Amino acid sequence: MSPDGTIAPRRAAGAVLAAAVACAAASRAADPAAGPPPVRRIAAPPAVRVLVPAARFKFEVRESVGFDLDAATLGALSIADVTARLGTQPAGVALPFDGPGGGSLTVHFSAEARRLSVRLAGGAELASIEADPPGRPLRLCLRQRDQAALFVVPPAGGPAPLVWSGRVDYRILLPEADQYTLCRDLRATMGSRTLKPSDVREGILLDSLDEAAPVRIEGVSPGGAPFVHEVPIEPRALEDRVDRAVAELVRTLQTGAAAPGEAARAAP
Amino acid sequence: MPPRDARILAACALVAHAACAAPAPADLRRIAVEAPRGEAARAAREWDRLRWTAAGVEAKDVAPLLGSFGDPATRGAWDSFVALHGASTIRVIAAMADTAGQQENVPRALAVLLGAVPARDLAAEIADEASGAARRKVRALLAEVAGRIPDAALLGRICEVLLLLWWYEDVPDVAIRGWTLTQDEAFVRLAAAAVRRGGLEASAGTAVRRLAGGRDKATRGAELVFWTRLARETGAADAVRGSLRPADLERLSAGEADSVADDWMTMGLGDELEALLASAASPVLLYLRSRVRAAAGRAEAAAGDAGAAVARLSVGEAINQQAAFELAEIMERRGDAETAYRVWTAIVERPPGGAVQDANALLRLARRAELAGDLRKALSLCEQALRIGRDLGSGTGLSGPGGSRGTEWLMRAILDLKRRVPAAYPAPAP
Repeated sequence: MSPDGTIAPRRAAGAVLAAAVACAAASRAADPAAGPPPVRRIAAPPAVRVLVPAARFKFEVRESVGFDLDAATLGALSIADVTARLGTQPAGVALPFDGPGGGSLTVHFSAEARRLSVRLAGGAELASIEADPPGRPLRLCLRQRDQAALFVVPPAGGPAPLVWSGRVDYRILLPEADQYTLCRDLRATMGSRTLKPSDVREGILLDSLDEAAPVRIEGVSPGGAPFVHEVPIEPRALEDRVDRAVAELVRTLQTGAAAPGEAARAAP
Repeated sequence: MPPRDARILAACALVAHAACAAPAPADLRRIAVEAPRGEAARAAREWDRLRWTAAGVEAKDVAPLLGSFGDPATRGAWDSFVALHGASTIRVIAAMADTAGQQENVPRALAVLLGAVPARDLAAEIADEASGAARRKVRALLAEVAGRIPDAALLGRICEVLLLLWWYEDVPDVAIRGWTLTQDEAFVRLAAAAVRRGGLEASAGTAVRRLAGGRDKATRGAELVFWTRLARETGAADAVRGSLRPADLERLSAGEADSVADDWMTMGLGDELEALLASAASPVLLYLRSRVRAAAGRAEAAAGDAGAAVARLSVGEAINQQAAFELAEIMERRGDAETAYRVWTAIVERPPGGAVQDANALLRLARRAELAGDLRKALSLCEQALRIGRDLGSGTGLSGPGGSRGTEWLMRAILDLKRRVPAAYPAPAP
């Protein structure tokens, strides 16, 4: 079988073809005048792992999103009724869920308007979420960048007390990363950030998904041929996948409870 | 010179020197065993090297080390050699492949190496080869020897080595061989990794078209299933679209046709599949068409096809038992348990009786009764199956539920049910 999709009818022919491919690669490696290698775009999406320190529980959810959770985070997710992500502007700014001196995010539920409003230190409304508590306190898991928090929303309205908050990290696993195991002179970047070879092979650790950017990998293949790979990573698409995965994980963890419905999205 | 090269050459030189000196085997063993503490390991290594000389082989180069490879007197010596030299042994195997009289030993030698050394180490050793010619030689060797190794686990190792070295074009052939041995989905995943990394997505369609063209009839069905599954795994629906004709599906076994149809439906090729099945006449193909039509929301047409599939099983008063059994297996696999139950019941109740399909259908009815809590009925059905099995003789290969071994499943079920039945249904008081 060859890269153009034809299959050699005999193994011997396959070996000849393979040898030809290897010869071409070797000649490219030996001849600097052959020019830079063509850039290959890796279309497959990267996998994402949501991590907390001292994780003990692993979950795999569809769309190649996995979770490594500790008991506290797992407990919070398993009792959440609704999940929402708080998009903050400008990108890269995280507002504290449990900051000192009252400078934290607060959640208030208006029973008349059936809306949750998220404010910073009781100031202007940062986000508004439709909510319909089911006749009992609604447990809202609110996420932003590297933080997650669980609020309990009183059905009669009023401020929703914070009952738990924690931090998460993210690991971006490049598609088919195993192929770089024996490559030499590996150089990689994610946007303007320089990556280590171990990042390419074992995953890129991020505080928040908005730090993600397209990845470019250069090096020399095990056969001695230079290569350039590009992985187009779009932070927004990653965040959407993680949103869906969190909602699905919450649904999976809930036993005996009514399905909480689709994950709500907090408007910035 | 890379250190591993130096090590191999040192071993060769040592063997050559030892051949001249020709120490007796007993002396060598004594040196190894009686060496002072601290020297024991070194002495043991020397013994391991020199034992080849002790076996009486000529030491002109590396290959003659293995002159008595198949000799029971030196059995285990190759294992020791691999344990000592690790991945670098691949160079010795490459030399064997070039030596007259040694080629037949290459598969076993490679099997020992693959079983003893991690795939990554072996791939790294090959990648460290200074010359491209040497790498290409090993590549050809791996691809060729894979065709002579009848062990799926070792074929999986070869696939891993080929993947690590970016020799993607060679992986599908090796994976197909592993697949035909075990039907293990791991081989599809290995080949899919090669296809994705090598940008070979179009190859699935080419392969299906060639297979459908009539080459290699003995393995065509299994290979067709493999390539179709590979297309599904790599999302290459366009590559296989239009690659089959109606006659190609008719030539497949029931299980193969079901697998291919399921993959085509998963790839969103339901319309094309229905067109292929337009003139379906066999029970299995009619049933597959009913699934396509049901998935498209045409419930009435689907029910008609499913009914026709079951009706085609009848031969007068009798039933085509093999066709019925194959159809019921597909029905159960696809979640159509009620219809499968009716077909198994028909197999048992209608003539001819006393066949292996009767016993296999009874096993499935027994499992269903057990799951429903009717343990006494389950036990009775198992005992009927046992009687049929005994009448048919010991060579009868029963097939248990879920692909298990039938006889083992049956014996375990009878023992288990006999233990549980009295508790569930206590005997009436005298």
